[in-house]
Amino acid sequence: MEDVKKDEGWIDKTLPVDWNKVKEEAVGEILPHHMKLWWYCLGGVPAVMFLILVITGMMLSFHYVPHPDMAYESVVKITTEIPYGWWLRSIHRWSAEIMIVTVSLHAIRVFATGAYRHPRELCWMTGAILLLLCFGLGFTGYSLVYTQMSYWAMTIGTGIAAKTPLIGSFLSRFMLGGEAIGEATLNRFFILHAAILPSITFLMVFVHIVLIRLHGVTEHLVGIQREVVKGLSRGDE
Amino acid sequence: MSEKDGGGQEVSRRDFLANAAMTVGLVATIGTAGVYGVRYLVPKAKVKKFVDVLVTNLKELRPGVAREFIDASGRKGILVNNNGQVKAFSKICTHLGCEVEWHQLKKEFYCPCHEGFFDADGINIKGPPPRPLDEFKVTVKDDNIYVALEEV
Ligand code: HEM
Ligand code: FES
Repeated sequence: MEDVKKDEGWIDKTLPVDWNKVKEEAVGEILPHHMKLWWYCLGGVPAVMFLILVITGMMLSFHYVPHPDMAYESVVKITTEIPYGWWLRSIHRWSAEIMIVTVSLHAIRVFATGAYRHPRELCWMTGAILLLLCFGLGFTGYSLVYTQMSYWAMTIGTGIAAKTPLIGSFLSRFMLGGEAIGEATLNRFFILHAAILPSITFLMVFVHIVLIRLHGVTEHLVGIQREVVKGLSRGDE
Repeated sequence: MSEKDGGGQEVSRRDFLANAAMTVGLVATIGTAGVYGVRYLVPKAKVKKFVDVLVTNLKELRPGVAREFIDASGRKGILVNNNGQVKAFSKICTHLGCEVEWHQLKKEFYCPCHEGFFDADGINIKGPPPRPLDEFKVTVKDDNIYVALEEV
């Protein structure tokens, strides 16, 4: 170990990463003052919720059975029998609700403050895709419980899709895996909800956030004015 | 901990308290979630414990006679002496949960709700019940009759 420099341990040698630089990149970004106002930071909430949903979702799929005869029963078992199943299920459920609400508020805020303008078109477009993905996740997840409510949500959802001009019947048959709700439908919804949609969402969140970091968030006069008027500045520039 | 704080060497009381609170909160949250998560993923099978309970004796429970009993959680069972062979069953009909009765002459259990019949061994023989009656383990020792009941 003589040839190892004084402040360079085994980890630094095998993993030659400048951690200070990583930290600076990750948390050291200088933000405009308006970002102190919570409604400008609503994009981060669905991101955290998504993370929680991925973890709790993986856990739930250990005990969930995607078969029409077993789905509801397995959900009841998770809720009443398996230790802390009710806890994980509640977290998954509430995180989903919060994600949908905050992602919608985030989109409204971006729209209302005109933050979608050039050069941030791609932020807006990936965002729009994320909004649709969130709705897709919500819809497929709700159907998995396989209660009466789930059944009718599936019926109405696929019914709406069937009314799309030109490709409607194709879409509805693709979602149902046939002409009516059955074994194939639940299987499809499960794979969409637990594998395909989350993967695409993960990718989109990544691109969305990289784009935001490349551009920096939009400077808004509102924030600056408010800060001058109310003396919110900590004066540490 | 900006440069002005002294190059990250000194930590103010305010920063220290904030970091401490944050660390405690994170450890508590992640720790709880971790423990719950492991219990969820590796559920312990509920081990049912049974104890032999003295219910009656062979002088009382003569051949052909039945006797009702109740376990510690209030579920009813029935002891039957079928020509010297003593058996104990749950009184809950396996169809929709009514109470079965012992018919001494026909040597059958009868459920009045939907005309269900079980023989002296608890096997479903007629009507809607889909499976035999649940059975308890019986031990006869020195003319005393013990039934293995679930502990609560
Ligand atoms: C899972 C869904 C989403 C996540 C995790 C997410 C995450 C974020 C984050 C962390 C920011 C930084 C600024 C802020 O928090 O306000 C941001 C900004 C932005 N988001 Fe989203 N977002 C999502 C969905 C959307 C949607 C649905 C839209 C619009 C259709 C959108 C459009 C934008 C735009 C244009 C910006 C730049 C805002 C600015 O420059 O001030 N995002 N997003
Ligand atoms: S409940 Fe006993 S036969 Fe239906």
